[in-house]
Amino acid sequence: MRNYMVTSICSWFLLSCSWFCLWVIGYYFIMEPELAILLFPFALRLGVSLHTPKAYWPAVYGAEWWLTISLAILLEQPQWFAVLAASIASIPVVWFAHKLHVGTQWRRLCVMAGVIVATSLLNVVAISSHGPSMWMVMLVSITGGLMIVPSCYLIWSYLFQSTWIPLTANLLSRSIEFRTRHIFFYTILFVVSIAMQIGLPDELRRFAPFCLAIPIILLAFRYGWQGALLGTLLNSVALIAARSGVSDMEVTDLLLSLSAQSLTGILLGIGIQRQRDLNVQLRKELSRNQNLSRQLVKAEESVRRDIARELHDEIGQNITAIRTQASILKRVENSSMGERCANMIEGLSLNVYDTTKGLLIRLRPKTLDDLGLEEAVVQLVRDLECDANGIDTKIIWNTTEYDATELTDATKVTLYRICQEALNNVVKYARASQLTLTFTLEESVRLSIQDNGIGFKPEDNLKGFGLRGMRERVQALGGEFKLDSVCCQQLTETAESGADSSGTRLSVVLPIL
Amino acid sequence: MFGFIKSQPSYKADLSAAEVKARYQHWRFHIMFTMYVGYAVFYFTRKSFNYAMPAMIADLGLDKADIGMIGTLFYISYGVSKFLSGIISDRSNPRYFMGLGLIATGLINILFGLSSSIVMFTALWILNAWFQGWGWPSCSKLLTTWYSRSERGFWWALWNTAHNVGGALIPLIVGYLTLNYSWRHGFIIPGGLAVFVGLFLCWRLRDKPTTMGLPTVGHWRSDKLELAQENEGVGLSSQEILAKYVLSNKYIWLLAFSYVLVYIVRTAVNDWGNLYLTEQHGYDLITANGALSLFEFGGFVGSLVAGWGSDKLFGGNRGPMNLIFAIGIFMSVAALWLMPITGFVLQAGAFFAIGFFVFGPQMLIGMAAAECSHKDSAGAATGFVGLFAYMGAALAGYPLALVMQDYHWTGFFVVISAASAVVGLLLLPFLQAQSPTVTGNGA
Repeated sequence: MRNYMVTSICSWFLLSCSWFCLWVIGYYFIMEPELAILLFPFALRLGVSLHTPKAYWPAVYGAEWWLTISLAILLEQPQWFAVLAASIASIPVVWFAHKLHVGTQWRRLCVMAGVIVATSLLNVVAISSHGPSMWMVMLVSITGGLMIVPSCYLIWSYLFQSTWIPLTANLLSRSIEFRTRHIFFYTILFVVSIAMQIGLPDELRRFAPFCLAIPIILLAFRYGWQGALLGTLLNSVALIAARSGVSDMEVTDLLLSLSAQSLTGILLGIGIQRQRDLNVQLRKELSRNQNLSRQLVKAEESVRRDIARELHDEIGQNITAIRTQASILKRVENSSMGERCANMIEGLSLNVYDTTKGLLIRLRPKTLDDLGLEEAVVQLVRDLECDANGIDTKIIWNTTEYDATELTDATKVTLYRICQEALNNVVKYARASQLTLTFTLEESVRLSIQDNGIGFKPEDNLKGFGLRGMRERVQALGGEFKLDSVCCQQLTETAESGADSSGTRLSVVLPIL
Repeated sequence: MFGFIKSQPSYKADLSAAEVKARYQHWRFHIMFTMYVGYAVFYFTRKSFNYAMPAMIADLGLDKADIGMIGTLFYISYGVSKFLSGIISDRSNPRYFMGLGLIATGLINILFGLSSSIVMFTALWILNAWFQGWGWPSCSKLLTTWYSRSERGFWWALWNTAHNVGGALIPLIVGYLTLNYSWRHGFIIPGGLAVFVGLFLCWRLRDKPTTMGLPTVGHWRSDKLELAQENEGVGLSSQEILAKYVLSNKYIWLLAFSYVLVYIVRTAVNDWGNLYLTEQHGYDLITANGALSLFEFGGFVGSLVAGWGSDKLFGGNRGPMNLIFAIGIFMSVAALWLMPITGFVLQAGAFFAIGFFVFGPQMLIGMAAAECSHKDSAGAATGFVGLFAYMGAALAGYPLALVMQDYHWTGFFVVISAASAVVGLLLLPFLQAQSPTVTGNGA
């Protein structure tokens, strides 16, 4: 209870001071003390009461009533009773809006718009019975609401909705984020926009309002609707400066341009914000997809390895046993029928063995498990008989931070298979005399395979070269796959010009998994 | 000879929880009361010159430029002294440090009242500035060791109102004395009061709780944040602490720069306010000073609100509250500037609002400086930002007068509105550092 009282008194003081200052500023604006109350102070009360618990409303409304009554007495304006009535009449409306004012940003902004219009209508009913015209009251209330209420929301969501890390000495270890460039840029923007409003010569004066859009768009693009709101506030300062400086704009014109630019700013900002939110969602989905496909590749590889091991261990041993049994049978059985059967069994089991072996190689390069990646690549070059085909092969390993044994299984298998496919192609089609394989292990794994062969046409790129599957797999793992080839005709040209950049170059970048 | 000024080593006495509680409660109350009285009287001996000045001009025929020069020199040497004595006070016993400082300023004021030459005045007033600087670091040391993080906003705010009480009483006292006796009495009597209160401070103040055998305040109140700060950088030497937590602490620098701007606004409004009212709105001097006294009153309320708000609304975080008050400074300065009609209540209201919003950051920035540095460098950290504050105060003197010569009151208000807008901007990186979104990329 004591806590509540003290907090109420503190907020009462804070609000009274802000209310008073805003009233003075509004008064300067429209030179009409009664409308000045409707302009900023009412909007402040509306914005604050929307964002505070109802328990503190006595303090909020108390500040307003106290100041209205004292100013009415001070300036001898008894008809300000109507202002007080408008303030009291707004309580049920704000009460209702307060209940709806939850959930998404979009919904909150809609509620704010609704409550601004509703209270403006109330003001019209209460106040235009005496003195000021109906339209003026409406315009003043809406302008003030558009400028102040979203600002209250901004301050509330920035200061009160985030949890603050307490300020302690260990802040020291954090770097300061002081974006000098941004501050410089926005200061220039602000100064230019004021200069634009004040300094344009009379012939160009009618373009001045269009210039207001520039800071709004820039800020909205960078920071969403919050930025747009900031832009409109800066614009308001520029407009006010312009009015007190050179242009003798009518009050209605000023108010109209203020509310129009606030409205466009906020709407534009919301639009951009929505697009950005969608973009962020899309990016998230994309990265999730990539993650999934990476998982898929890994899972496939581990299943393959398991099956290969099973096949190798179980079927291999069994077939060996069958063959041994068959040869025993051949020796023991003397009848020709028996011998034929035994030969048949041996032959069939050999068939099974060969099929299994072929399957095994397709499933899982066994040399990779037995020898490791480096040796397996050497073995691959030997198996494909590159030397016999007249291809001088070089394998270069650039390993600084770690070596190939530390790579994950999926990476190793992918690298091995790419080498396999690429070397097959080189041996079969490229008619090359030199081949270089370069492995670089840094933050990512890079592999480049370059030959000096005849190359292929760009339209044949990946067509039927068995590399298409590899490309998909690399992309699924989040890597890059690039294949450049200097084609036959081009080759002759480059050969004539003496350049040695002929042949095919395949480069692959895989992230460390 | 001065060994007793040095802070005594800590020890741990065997006390029951009830005894610890009783002692803490007793001393927290008495230390607050004593500091409050002491600091208000520091204000008496600091501001006596400002208010006796018109009579001195009439009596001795002093030049205005000389007086402006004395004021500027006072601000600069006061700032420097705040920093240097801040460093010293971290290792000394605030009981004697603050008490002796107050006695010294009292004696200097008495001497000032007895002299008549401008050279003497300047020398004495610079010396006075030096001893004036002994008050605030001692208080910040006491405030950071006797009161813990989650409640400090309120206690510090309470103490901070001593500024306003002292600032509001001294014109009355000096005005009364000059009117009825002479300006010399306007120095001698506050000086005598200061000597008397200084003795009282030496009698009633105490050192840190740990030097009295008590546990630290963080332990006593089991305040997590307080404990974290107490355990920060244990075992460093005082030079290392000073270098690491104050001089190379980027956040202290940031606070220092925004403090410069806050003090430009504060000093500009305080020192030029009555001139503005008399020139622009045609007030007589008494009414103008009356409106200006609302500035101190607003400051009184504002510091309490800011302290309480930062404790309760933001759980001991000074940044967000600072930003709200920075926006308020801008608004209230604009209100005073743009006020379209003349009326005592309206202008006084604007001064109240400026005081309200200026004294929030005036207090919170000092507190934040103490809290984002080491426990044993609280005095040096607050002294360091204080040094910058009084650079700002010096800027609001002669340089601002030059601006006004060329651009009149519009120039004056453009400068202080721009200063108040930048206060908010400088505080933003602070909030950025405190917001949890950047937790990951702190390096």
